[in-house]
Amino acid sequence: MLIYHIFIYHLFIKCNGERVYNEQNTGVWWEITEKSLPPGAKLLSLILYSDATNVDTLGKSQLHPIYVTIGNIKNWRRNKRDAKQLLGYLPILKANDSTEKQSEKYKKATRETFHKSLEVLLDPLLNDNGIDLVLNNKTIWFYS
Amino acid sequence: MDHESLPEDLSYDQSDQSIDSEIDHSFQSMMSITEDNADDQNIVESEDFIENILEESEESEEKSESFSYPNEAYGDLMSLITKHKLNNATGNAIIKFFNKHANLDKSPLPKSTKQGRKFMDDMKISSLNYIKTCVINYNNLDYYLHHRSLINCIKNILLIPDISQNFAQNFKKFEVIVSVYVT
Repeated sequence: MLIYHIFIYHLFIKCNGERVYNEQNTGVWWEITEKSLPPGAKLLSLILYSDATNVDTLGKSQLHPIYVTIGNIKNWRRNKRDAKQLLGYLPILKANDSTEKQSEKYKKATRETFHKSLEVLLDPLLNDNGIDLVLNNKTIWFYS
Repeated sequence: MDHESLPEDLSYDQSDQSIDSEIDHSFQSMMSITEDNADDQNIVESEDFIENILEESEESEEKSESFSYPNEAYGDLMSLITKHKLNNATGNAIIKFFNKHANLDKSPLPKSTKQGRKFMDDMKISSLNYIKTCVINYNNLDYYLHHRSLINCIKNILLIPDISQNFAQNFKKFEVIVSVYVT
């Protein structure tokens, strides 16, 4: 019975009715947005992410791949490698030197490139009717 | 081991014992690789993915004829090689093994793994095609965005077999009922 004395006990008591957030669909935003959808439609949450990636060991050539995954999928499943898809490669603007990279013109062009790229990528979703998708052999009407 | 350059004639030479043992060896190593990587779920997923590609290519009629293997064995071999990331030598060993034991007059398989890979590279698969869009002209250079259809990407994710069990469709509110945490 000596073991019991070694442990230090921490005790937390939470009040009843306190709200818990874990997945995306437990958030306040989801609650509000779902109410704004037409009856029968579901919410499809898309996550786009991008990061510069070296394609050689010296780090001399880089690509900016952009990936897509779905926020409706539970976190543990979404983080597995098969639950995401490569969507495309964002263009990288060439600059002759670091001075040019610091210039306002270059920065503006970089921002424009990013916004124009996302506009092109998201264009298929930019209609008012949502999209029909098949999940588990059932067709579900989604808004995203 | 030089299995890269397979002889044009695929008929198995019984007298050549050295090649025989070499192939046996590489086939055994292939078997161990296959066992290590045997992930049923992944296989099912990629099959579904291929099915999806098939559906997609059927939809676009003008491209459907360019996506097909000469026969089922050819396609199965190439998906096996791709799935388990087999090198050309191992692929060639499988081809030899198949040709030896299948007892067919004409081999349905490619002459070498290299040829099979070339065949896959030349396929036109509409859902895997990258679209090229000019995004900006900076310093007199046109910059292009290479991308795939977003809808196709979403469809591909939704085709993963176990995804529907972990897919939230509606809002859920979680509240604490009674909780006492002891750590």
